[in-house]
Amino acid sequence: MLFREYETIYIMRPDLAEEEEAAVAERMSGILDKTQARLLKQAVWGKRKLAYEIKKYSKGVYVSLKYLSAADTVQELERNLKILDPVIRFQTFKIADGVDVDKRLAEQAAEDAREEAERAERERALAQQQAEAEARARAEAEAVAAAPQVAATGQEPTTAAAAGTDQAGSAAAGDDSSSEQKEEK
Amino acid sequence: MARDSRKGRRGFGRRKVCRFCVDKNLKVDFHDANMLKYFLTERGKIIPRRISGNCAKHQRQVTLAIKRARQIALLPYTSSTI
Repeated sequence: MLFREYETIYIMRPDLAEEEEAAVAERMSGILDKTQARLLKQAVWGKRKLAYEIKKYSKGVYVSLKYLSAADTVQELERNLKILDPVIRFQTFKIADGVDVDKRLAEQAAEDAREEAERAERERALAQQQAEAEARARAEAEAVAAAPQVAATGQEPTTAAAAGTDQAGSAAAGDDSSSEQKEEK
Repeated sequence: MARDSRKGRRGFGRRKVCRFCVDKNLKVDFHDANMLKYFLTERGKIIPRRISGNCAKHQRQVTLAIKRARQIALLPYTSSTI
């Protein structure tokens, strides 16, 4: 059997209960199973603003299904999506033709693993950024505390410049200390 | 930068180079509405090749991606509120 790669995206009403969303998802996966399609990935994008109103709704819950199948799966899937009341819009895109099923499944698995790794990396970077921002805030607070003494000596232009360099120096020092803290951990 | 693509329009400023040809990692993807917005006018029309600087191949891909994104309400067909 010749398989194609499809992606079906459907949009549900924003005012649904979680059970109703799950029921739709279950029905879809049931059809995929029944028609011997191979699910690559199901992704719930969550509630998003629509670029234009659909049936008077300006928000919708996006769900994307990527799968390998023959053409009759799409027909069955779309017939059901048409019937289902919570679904306000659906669209199937053909991604590729004549796909080698096992190879594609392996590729998808590799991609999933990579995405997972990237997500972990992003979280780590975010945590680091927060730590650095905190360190910088602390350094700035110290600089502000030190500033009045400098200002009291008069000679505005030079002191302003001096304060600027002071701040930069202390900020750099703050960064250093934060990286040291991380090393200790 | 734009050595040979400047042919026929000498002295008319810098010819834009196709973003997707310059950066091979950049893929045209209809999910990425923010990237595609770059190729839309404020009213939601697709920006022509002569303005956007895309090559023919990538302009075709961008056009298809925008039309797909419109079908699932990621991009507007038109924005009447301007």
